[in-house]
Amino acid sequence: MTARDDGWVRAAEVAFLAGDRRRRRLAWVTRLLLNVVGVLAFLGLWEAVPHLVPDLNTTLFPPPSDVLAAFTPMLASGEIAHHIGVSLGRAGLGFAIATVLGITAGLLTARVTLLHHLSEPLLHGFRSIPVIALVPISVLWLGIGEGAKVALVACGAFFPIWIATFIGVRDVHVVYLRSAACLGAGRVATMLWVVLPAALPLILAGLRQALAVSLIVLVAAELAGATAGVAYMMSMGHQLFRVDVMFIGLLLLGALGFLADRLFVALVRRLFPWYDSTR
Amino acid sequence: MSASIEIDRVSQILPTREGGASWALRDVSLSVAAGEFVCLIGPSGCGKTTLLHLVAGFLPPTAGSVRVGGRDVGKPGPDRGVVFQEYALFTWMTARQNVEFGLRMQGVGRAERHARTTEALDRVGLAHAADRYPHEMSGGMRQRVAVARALVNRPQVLLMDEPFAAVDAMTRATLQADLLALWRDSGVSVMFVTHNIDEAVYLAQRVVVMGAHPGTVRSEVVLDTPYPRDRGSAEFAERYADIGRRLGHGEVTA
Repeated sequence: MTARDDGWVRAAEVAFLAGDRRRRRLAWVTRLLLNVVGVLAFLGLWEAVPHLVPDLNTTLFPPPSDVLAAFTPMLASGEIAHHIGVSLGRAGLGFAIATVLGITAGLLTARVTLLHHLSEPLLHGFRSIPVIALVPISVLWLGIGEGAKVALVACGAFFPIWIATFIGVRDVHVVYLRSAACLGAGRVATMLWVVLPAALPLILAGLRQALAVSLIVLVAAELAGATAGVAYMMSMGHQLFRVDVMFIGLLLLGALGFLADRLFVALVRRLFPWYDSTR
Repeated sequence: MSASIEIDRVSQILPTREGGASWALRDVSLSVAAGEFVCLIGPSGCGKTTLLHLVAGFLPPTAGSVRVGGRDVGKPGPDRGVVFQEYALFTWMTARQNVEFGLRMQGVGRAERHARTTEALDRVGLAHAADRYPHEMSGGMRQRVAVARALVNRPQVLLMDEPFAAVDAMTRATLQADLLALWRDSGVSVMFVTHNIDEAVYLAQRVVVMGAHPGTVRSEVVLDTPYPRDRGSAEFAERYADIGRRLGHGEVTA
């Protein structure tokens, strides 16, 4: 026996949903606001340093206003865009090569026992070498051209992708393989429709790590000798004693790394709606 | 009725962690008639799941032969549908894509595939949830999809490995009743593994009671009570107690 009518029920629902929406939006706006406040507080503190430390040499430690003053003409002349374009091109190509080779190698070594055992010691030996240690050799072998830089990035990004793919494919739950088999899937179809998607969470983790490694190796390669690129711009700043230009480079690298990671996460959400643990 | 599954003096030896040999099954024979519903029940370690896997073709028997539809079982195939305990749906596919997968693998044309998938989902009462991913469904719904995924291929036999063990009791009762209806509509032979006496007495035409170490068939009980069965009836309680005794007996002598 209920004394309440339909109208009452509907009104209660509408009120609840409106309140819920309001709370969510408030939480979202507050978070965004705090994010911005954090960045502004950092910039404010940085700007204040020369005033707080009287003897500070602002040529060695330029405040954000100086950095911005140096940045604006470089942006207007297209210099910044050029350096970013060159760097992104190298990192992107190297990462793409590493992705194709790393996933292929991971799949093969996890599914073909012979290849797994053959590659085991080499894989673990090579992946222990920091790729930055290969920079001098690559300069001797390949010079300071584009090929050397792309190859270094590909080399650095390859190992995390290989390892992650290998583990992901090796540990695919047997119930998936059995399901595929009793539904009539052959070897190739199982690989394509079952093993790869099942291993995807780990492959994506490997790709994300490889993305970060790509940036590190890129900087090392560009510092070793280049004619354009963000890190090259920084090394020019170093030689010309322009710390403000070096700071621009640092900020750009931070922004690029951050944006690449966000872009990656957004892309994953878009492409794999069933995989909702990318936060 | 012709035999659908014939298991003839099958033994399965597995290596133990300590380097010894363990008899998962020893000299087990069993046959399931076409269209029959058989439950395998027994304590853990009695080899009931191993027996199911042998029929599915997931592993070859150490000795003896397993035949389905008169032919020796080789690799797994769509003539033997399998429903696993849980987590067997492809999480990267929607309910529809999961059900459609087997038909796609067999090269069934697009239009027929769509029609059969829709029908299969409808028969398990999930037409409205066709585009949901497994993580968006309850445990009971997921097992319904798993049943639809196996039945859409029109298998000769349906092998079920404790399919309702992980869902709550109320959902389980509904799933059991719906499974009986599906079984009677499709005429498929069912081999159903469970450790739940109530489930066996409610579902099976014949219950195979197994014992452990080594895995063997202890006894068989034919249940001729007409469907649907009344869990509150004296006959149900009697059957329940009978199978309970047989299981207990198996443990005492082992």
